[in-house]
Amino acid sequence: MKIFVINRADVLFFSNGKKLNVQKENGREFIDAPLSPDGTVVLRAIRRPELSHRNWWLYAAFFWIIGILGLFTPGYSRFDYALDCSITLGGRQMQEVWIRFNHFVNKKTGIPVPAVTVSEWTIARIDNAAYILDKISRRRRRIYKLVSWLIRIAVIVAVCLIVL
Amino acid sequence: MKNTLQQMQFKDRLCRTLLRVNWVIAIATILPVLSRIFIGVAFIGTALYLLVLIAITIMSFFLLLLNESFRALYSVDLNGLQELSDQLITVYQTAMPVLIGACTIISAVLLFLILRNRDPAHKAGRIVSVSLAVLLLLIAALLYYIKLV
Repeated sequence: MKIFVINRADVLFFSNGKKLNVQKENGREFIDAPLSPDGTVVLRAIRRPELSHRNWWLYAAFFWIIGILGLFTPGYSRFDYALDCSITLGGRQMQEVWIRFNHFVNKKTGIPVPAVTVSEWTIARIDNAAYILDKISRRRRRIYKLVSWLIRIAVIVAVCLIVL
Repeated sequence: MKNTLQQMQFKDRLCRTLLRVNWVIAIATILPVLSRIFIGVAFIGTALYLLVLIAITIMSFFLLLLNESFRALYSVDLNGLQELSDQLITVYQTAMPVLIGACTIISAVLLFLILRNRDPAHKAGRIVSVSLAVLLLLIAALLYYIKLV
């Protein structure tokens, strides 16, 4: 089943543990989701901050080095929220199906905002549709930033001392 | 699933980092040419500066010429810029082949990574970016070896 995806950003789709490739058609992204034996489509949409993985420090150090003191390394996303939602779609849909992602969290009121919505009149069930704050990732991002700057300053001071 | 996610994020970050480094190297190769262009611009700027100075002198009925510090404004020395440019070109005689080699290797790795990646997001943009960086490198290298050395 062809499912169009809007505002996907870095969300990945899985079906039965297999990653689904996102394709493009006329400027719109879509996934070709397989039908399960009962005629439904079961998708898992996952988004995890980069620094939430176990060996984050190794990867961060690697990119800091190849990015020349981290100056040319792209910054880590400040959106420290994870998403792991399950979307079950009915196999027979009357119209084009699309899934829209929303990268917004209501920090003021704390009311969870649905991160995933589907097109109107789509027969679907979405579980865990809200973003969850990844505090570990946020803490690691701050540590990375601090350590990165400290090492840069140390390198500059060391170079100045050697040259002078 | 976690491994797949981590691999995807690693490849994406690697692409983005190498793209930036590639552009830095490509821009570095064009510095000697830019230094020569800058001297040309400095000459034009100096000519305009002197024109303005002459206009002011005429407007003051040449009375300002009696002032020594005003007369000193007429002496403009661009030899310092020329020497700096020559030094840069000399340094680049060793650095240019290294930069060209590095940029070529990084561009090849980038194209390999971009074409192998099945995610269509940013694919076309990244290929264009790599191509432009390589084009800039070629222009810089041609200009350097034909015109400057």
